[in-house]
Amino acid sequence: MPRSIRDIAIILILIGGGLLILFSSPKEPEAGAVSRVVYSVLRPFQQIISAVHSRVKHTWEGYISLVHVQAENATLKEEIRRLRRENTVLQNKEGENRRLTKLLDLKTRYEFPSLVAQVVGEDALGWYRTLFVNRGSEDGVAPDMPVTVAQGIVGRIAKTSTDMSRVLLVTDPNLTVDCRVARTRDRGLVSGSLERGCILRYVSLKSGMAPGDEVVTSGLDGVFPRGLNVGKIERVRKEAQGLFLEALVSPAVDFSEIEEVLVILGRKGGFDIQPGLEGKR
Amino acid sequence: MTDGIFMLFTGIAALVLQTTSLAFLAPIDYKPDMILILVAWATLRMPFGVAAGFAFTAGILIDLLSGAPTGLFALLYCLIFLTCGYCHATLHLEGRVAQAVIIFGLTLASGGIVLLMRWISGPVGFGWKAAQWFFFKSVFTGLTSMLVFPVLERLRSGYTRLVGA
Repeated sequence: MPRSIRDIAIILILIGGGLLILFSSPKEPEAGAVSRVVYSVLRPFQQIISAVHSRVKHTWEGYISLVHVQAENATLKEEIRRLRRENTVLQNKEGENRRLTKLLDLKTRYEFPSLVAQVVGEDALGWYRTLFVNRGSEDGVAPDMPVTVAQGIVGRIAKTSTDMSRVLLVTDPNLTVDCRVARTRDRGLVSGSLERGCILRYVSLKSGMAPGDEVVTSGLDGVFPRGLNVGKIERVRKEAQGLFLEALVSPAVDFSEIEEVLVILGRKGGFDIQPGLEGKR
Repeated sequence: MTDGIFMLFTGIAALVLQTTSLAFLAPIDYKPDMILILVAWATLRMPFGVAAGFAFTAGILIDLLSGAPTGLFALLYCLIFLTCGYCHATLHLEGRVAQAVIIFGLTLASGGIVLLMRWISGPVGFGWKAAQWFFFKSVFTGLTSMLVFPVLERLRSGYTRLVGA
């Protein structure tokens, strides 16, 4: 038999066999015995190949994705950095807004002109209790003007230049403020102490002041308007000579936290303001 | 002249640091007196005229930037300059610890003079807490000098290489 005829015969037999199996096999849902043997032989190989394929596929996809992830990661990191920066700026703005709102509230409560000033520096050495604000004589600020924040008095202007002023804090022994104890209305002088805080001096022995009482300005010293919060009494004792009572006063203001202050430019019948400076108030 | 310029720039830098960012590194009450450290260093390393001029000028500037009466620190730093110069001449202050001890003493003395001046003008409420404050502020200044002196020497050697002696 020629070779070509043999090949054609084989192909026809195979196709015929296939057609025979196709049309003669029963339509059963269950696999037959031959199928089961074939399946059980093939299954382990299939599983291995499938697992290897799956792993290779995952590794490849992982690698490909990692290339993207790295780029995405860098973008996200930059985004986080930018958002953090923005967040810090917004938090600062929010804090500033809160402080300025308080000052504005205070400003509208006062019946005299006042000016918001920013704290720009502190005492160079720390032996004295002073700070510097960014408003000076050009803005209408003059020595002895009271400086306050929402919590209470800060001090008074000690020295001014054209665009900067030095504020003597109420905790400095060089500053004395005429005050009253809010509850008992006893009068005394508050001055700073090197021992931290302030001391309320020259209070009558008959006074019933006690720790926890609020101390406010009396308005009688010609510098501070009356009723501004100074601090709270911590301890009461008889002074060394025994003629008066004195009290340790904890200031109402945390001086390390101050960022903006309100300078009271004048009072009714009080300070003379230079003409032409009204617009700056 | 070059020494004078060097002291001018370091003085300005120290003043800015003293009035602003130093408070971030140390509590305001305990912040070290950088100018006193500079005066002491100038006394040990600079020509007499430059150091004396620096002590006086820095003192005047400190008077303006603190609550001190004008002239107090100009005088104080000149006294510190003389005292430090005397101590250096007699005790040969070359070791860092010896220099720090002298600076501690000088800070304590300057604090004492400030206290005295305040005492004269009115009651200051001096007690145990204030004494602690004086002591620890002086300790911090002394310790800071141990860090600042090597930095100043490096800066000066760099500056000298740059502009010539």
